[in-house]
Parts: sequence; structure tokens; C-alpha cells
Amino acid sequence: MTQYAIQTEELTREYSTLRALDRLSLEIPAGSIFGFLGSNGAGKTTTIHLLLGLLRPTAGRAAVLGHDVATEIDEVRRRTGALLDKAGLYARLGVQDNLEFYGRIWHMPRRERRARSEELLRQFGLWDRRKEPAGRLSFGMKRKLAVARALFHRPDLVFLDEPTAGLDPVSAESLRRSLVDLVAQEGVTVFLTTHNVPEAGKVCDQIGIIRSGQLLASGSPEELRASAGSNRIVVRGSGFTEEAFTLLALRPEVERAETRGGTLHVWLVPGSSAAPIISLLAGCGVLMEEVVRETTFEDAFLSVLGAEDHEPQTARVARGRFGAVRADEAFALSVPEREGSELSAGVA
Amino acid sequence: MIRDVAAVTWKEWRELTAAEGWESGLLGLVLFVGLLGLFLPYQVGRSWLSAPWVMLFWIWIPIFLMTTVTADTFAGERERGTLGSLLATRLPDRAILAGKIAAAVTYVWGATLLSVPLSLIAINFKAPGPLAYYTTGQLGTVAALALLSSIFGAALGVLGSLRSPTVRHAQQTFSLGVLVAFVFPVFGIQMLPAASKTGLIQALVFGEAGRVALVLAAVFIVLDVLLVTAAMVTAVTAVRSRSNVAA
Repeated sequence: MTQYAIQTEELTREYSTLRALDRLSLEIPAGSIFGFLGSNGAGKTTTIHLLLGLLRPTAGRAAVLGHDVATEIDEVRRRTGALLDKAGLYARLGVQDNLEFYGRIWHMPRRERRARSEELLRQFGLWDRRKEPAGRLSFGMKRKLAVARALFHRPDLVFLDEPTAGLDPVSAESLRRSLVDLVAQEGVTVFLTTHNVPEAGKVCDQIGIIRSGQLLASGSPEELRASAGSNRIVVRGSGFTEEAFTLLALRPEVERAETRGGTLHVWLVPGSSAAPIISLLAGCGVLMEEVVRETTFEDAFLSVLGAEDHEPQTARVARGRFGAVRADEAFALSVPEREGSELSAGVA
Repeated sequence: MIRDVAAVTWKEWRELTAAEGWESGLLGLVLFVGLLGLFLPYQVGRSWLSAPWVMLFWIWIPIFLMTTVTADTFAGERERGTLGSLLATRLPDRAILAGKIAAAVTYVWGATLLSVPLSLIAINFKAPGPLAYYTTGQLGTVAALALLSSIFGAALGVLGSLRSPTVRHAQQTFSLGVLVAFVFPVFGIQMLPAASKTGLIQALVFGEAGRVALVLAAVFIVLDVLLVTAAMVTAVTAVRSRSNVAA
């Protein structure tokens, strides 16, 4: 097995006047859960479409599971599974039939298809509804079924495009748990896109942060946290008065402060010392039982974005009459479903 | 490749006969089978079995029914957002295309064959006497003509659906195409010299059914070969252009 599940080199995709992906170079180790983190239109979906050969790159190259996407796309598709931005379930088919179809596509024997669908439907809590048309499921259940379908043929690598988008917190957590358990059981590599920062911090062991088509940072959540530095003080105690907040707001090194369930959180300008703030709080009569300086993954994410606050010039190569075109808008207007394929003609 | 085509055909069949939405499909099928299997043979009587012009019905009816079946094949998948996921699987374009054509052909051809025994019941009910039945040759002719026109309709409909952004657009395009295809010859006949026109009408009314069937079969074999080849070439070209990506 190749050391890297995905390798890209200067991968670039332009849509007429817009560069949706800008010289992306990535190396994702096999067996990891890689989270591609960025806001809507950052280039996450474009990356998945390029890696699955549904789009052609304008420049650069990509290899998936050791196969060049440009020349060995059939082999790539044979060994991967995908949940794209649209779940792509057949609403009129039964829940189990949706899986059955994908089992047939991958030439799984009948007995294996039956066993696998029972295993996955039980895992995702859908077994009791296996005979119902998929269209009758709730939104959360549909996402679970779509994830189950992506994993059905035991791919070596699975692409999940925002699997928990639009789910309520309980369903999202349940889906995340099922996903992590399955990945641990089956050793599959996961390429997951999300704009949910805490989700990426919890689930992924490697993360890439992308904005306007450019990779801003990548590494493990711990590495990203460490590189961002500790810029938050958490004070457990009492006596967080109005006066203390007023004085904190006047300090130039304080970005913001708030209380959360009996603890005071103070965000500092990166590189600032915590000592004057602690003295200030003590002077205001705050009783401090415990003071911790920490950085959450969310802080690290914001720090990365803050460091790149100015808009990268290369990401938008031109602007239209009505100003900049958002990457996702341009995508929706111009992308066929399998570029070069006649089967996707007329989509745009 | 055959297993890939079979997988797509299986899915298409499941969707066509799925519990949800089955009522509207069933209604169309009942109307179709009722018209071709009961009403028309009852009106025509025993000559339904031997009249040469009846051969035109076995050509026309499957194509007519095909409108509702094929419009959804690609345009429907596109509208419902399932096409992207399907194209991200290991299935080659050719298998997807062939699977959809095969599903449409078997569905419509099967429905047409279902109307054959019904037509015998209607004929025997209308005109009691010696039992009216199809000879093996007649049955073979009917089955072959219906199959050829089903392939023609399916290939045309699936290619049309491929090019349509919505199901409604696909239905309109296909209906228009069918209308043109069948109205044009009617007007074309009017343009023929009087002698040729009379000869053609006489052949259709008083001629030998077998000969008419042979002519129709020859025409549709050519059309089917052309259309299916066009569909496959379309898919093969697509595969080649995909593998040339950034080469």
C-alpha cells in the first residue's frame, strides 16, 4: 500500500475568470482522517471533484491511492467511495435497495451485499426502516444512509463532502461517532470537508485549512494549536464584575472577554503576556481559583485566518461587472457532473 | 461490462416499479395495455390478426409509451441530484447508458407483449366462431417489430434525456420528435404521385402483412443500429476525453 492516500502537486482549477483552487499541494497519509476546513466557496468541493476525476484540473497533478487521476481514473473510482455535496439517494428506492444498487455496481456477491447492508444499517440505526423508500427518511437519516452507501463496498478511501451539514447537534454527533467507529474498524482513509471547526478538531487527525482556493495551513489539530500559540486565558472563580470587564476592555492586549458558566475567558492579541491581565483581575477583587492559558482548535483556526487576513490576490484572478464572483456561485453555474462525460452534458 | 449494465438496469426497473409513484406508472401501463390489447382489437375484430396496417400499430405504440419511461432516465437523475454520485462510481459511461436503454426496452417491450393475449380475448369476444389466434410466424413478427421500435424509442429517448436539463424538457423534446417522425410521413404520402400513393395504401390495406412487416423491420433495424451506435460512440468519446485530462 502506498504511504500516501492522496498526493497533489500544484493542483489548480480555474473557471473562466475565477481561480477556485490555487496550486494545492497536499500529502495525506493512508489510514488517516483528513479534514479539509474552510468556509463555503473555499474550494473544498472543487478539490473532491478534481480528485474523483469529475473535473479536470487547469494545472498541476493529483494521485489517489497511488493512481494518477488523469490517466488511471477508473482505478481511482474502483477503490474509493464518495458522499458528494448532494446525497444522491434514490428517493423511490427502499433504504436497503439504495445500498443494494451500490453493492451491485461494485460486483459484491449477493450474500455479502445482504450481510454488509445489515451491518451498516444497524450501525447507523436504520435497520428497522430498511424497507421504506429513502425519500421518507428525515434529513439526518438520509445523510447517514448516504455515508453508509459511500462505505458500502469497503473502499480504501472515502470522500465525504460536509457529511454533517444541516444536521441538528444530536444527529451530527451520532453520525460522527458512527463514522469514527467505522473508520477505526475498517482502516479506511477519510477525506472529509467541513466548515464546522469543532467537528474537524474532534474527528480529524490531519487538517488542512483552505480559503479562496489557497491552502493556508495543514497539520494535526495539536500542531495547528501549537503554531497558533496560547492566546486565551481561562479563569475559574467568582467576582467577575462590570468594573473588571470595563477595565479589560481598555487594555490594548485584550481582544475580547466573556463569561461562560462561571468561568471568565479572555482572548489576548497573539504574543501578549497574561501577567498584567491577571494582576488587573486581582486588583478588581476577582477571586481566582484556577487560571489556565490555552488555545482551542477554534482559536487556532481563527488565528490562521487572521494571519492571512488580506484576501489573497491570486485567488481571484478577475472580477466581473458586479464585483467578485463567489467560488461556489461560479461552481454552480459552470460545473458538469463528470467533466468530459457526455452523460453530464446540459447540467450547467 | 455486462454486470455493470445489469446493475443499472436493475436500478431502473426498481425505480419504475417502486411502491412510491407506482400508481401513475401503473395508470399509464393500464391505459396502454387497455388501448392496444383490448379496445383497438375489439373495434377491428378478426382482421386485427392479419391486416397489414396493424403492423404500424406495433411500431407506433411502444414508441408512444416510451415518452414517459425515458424522459426521466438522465434528466430526472440530474433534477434529483443523483447523477453526480452515479458518475463518481466505477461505472463506465457506456454501461450507464446501455443499462438505461436496456431497462426502457424491456419495460416497454414487455408491456407490449402483455397486450398480445389480451387482444386475442377481445377478438374472440367480439366475433364468436372458430377460435382466433396468432400463428407462430405472426407472433414472431409482432414481437420482433415491437422490439425494434422499443429499441428505437429507448435510444432516442435516452439520448434526448441526456441532453435535457429537466424531465419536462425531455418529455417535450421527445413528444415533438415523435410527432414529427409520424406526421411527416403522413404528409409525405400526400406529396407522392397518385399512382404511388394508391399503391402504398393498397399494400397497407390489402397487401401481405408479412411483406409490410419485413419492410418496417428493415427500416427500424437501420435506425436502431444508427441510434445505438451514436449512443455508444458518444459514451466512448466521453471516456477517451476523460482519460486525456492533463495528460
